Amino acid sequence: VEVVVAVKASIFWSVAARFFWILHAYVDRTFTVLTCAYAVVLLQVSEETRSLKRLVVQFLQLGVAQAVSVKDAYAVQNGVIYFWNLHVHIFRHSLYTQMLPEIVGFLTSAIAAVDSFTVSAAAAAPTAGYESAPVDHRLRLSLLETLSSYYEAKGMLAEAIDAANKGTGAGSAPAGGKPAKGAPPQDTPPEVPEYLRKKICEQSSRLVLLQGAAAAAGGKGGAKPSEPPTFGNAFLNVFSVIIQAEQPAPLMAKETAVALVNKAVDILEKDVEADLSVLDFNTLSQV
Amino acid sequence: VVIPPVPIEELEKLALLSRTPSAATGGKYTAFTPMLQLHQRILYSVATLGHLLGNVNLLQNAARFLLQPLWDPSDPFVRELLDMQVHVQYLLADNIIVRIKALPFKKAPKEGFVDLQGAEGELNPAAGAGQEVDPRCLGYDSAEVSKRTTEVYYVRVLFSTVVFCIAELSWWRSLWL
Repeated sequence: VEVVVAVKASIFWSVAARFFWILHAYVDRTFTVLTCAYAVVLLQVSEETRSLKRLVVQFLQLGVAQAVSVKDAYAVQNGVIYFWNLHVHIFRHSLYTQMLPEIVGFLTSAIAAVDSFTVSAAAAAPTAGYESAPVDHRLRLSLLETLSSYYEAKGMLAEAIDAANKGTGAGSAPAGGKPAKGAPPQDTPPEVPEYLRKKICEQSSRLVLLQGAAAAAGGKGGAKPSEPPTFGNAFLNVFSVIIQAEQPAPLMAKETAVALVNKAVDILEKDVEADLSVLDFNTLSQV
Repeated sequence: VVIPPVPIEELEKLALLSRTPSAATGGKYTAFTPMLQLHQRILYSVATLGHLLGNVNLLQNAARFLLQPLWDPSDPFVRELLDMQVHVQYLLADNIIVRIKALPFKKAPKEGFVDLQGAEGELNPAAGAGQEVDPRCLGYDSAEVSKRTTEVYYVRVLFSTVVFCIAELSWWRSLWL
């Protein structure tokens, strides 16, 4: 009896196992096919999204280039504003390391496009039928600041300082007053108010400090702490000094910070007071 | 009438169009004719209307023809036509967002994507750092996210294939038994 039961059980389990595996194989094969299909779809979708994002920048760049060819300052700035509004989240949240490379290309060409209207008045002369338009310096400074921040995020400090200095209105110069060696030319016209230049000057000063710290960490025997750059304006020089003093401890020693704050007080008491004494408050405006 | 969508490859070709005359055109700009001007003006109206209605296909199809002529930038006579081309390129860029929004994307995590822009387009600077960014964000390259997701699927495909092979083998073994 036991042998019969054992044989019956073995036949039952053999048949059951067969059915189970057939079922399993069927389900699994379907699952495999579905998964493969889904993976392919997923790849296509992500590639399609990326292509569309690239196209957004490419079309804006084409529009700006075409507007430059007819020297239409309004159209150029319009394109840059479109770009800025569409990508503002990237800049505000410092997503520079995950940025599409096309954006860097656009930034560089947009700065060149805006500069073509500011640096040379002759080049900016509009084509017949177009009006000459004022260039919004805030736009240009925002682009420079973004490009500088991008280079900083990538660890390219020399390029970051170079980009920032294009907006400061003066080549980086030590406290002595003479422009630093290799300092970029004065790209920003002097009519750009200090109020607008404040942020980019602070960025430039902070980057100089970072570069000095990086050189000290990597160089042989350490490097001298770099002087805060000056920008040809007492107010901006104060901000340049203060921003360095505000940096966190590993970057800025407490004693140096105190010395910098004292230096800022010095500039406030001498240069800033002298500047304020000649200001005509009745003719002052925000821009 | 259903207006078909413009394939991405077509849009990419459009983005690569040179604005200077090539050897293929004999080094010459497009000749101005009143009929072509009328054609361009109508297309421009269609494109702006398409943008206003949020109709991606309408705008992109109109733009495809609108951007074909090569106008001479030094000729003040065609400046309005050039303006149209410049503007329609900006509209194209702005309109592509509608197309991106329609694409399926990776499900948002439990706590949601980082809130880059509020419902009314207001920026939220207090958005949490380290949170996952919406892969549809313009200018944001989500290559790492999609790569990781794809890798996970490859592993799953590999696993299910191995299970399938074992199942087949067991079936033959059970027949033999």
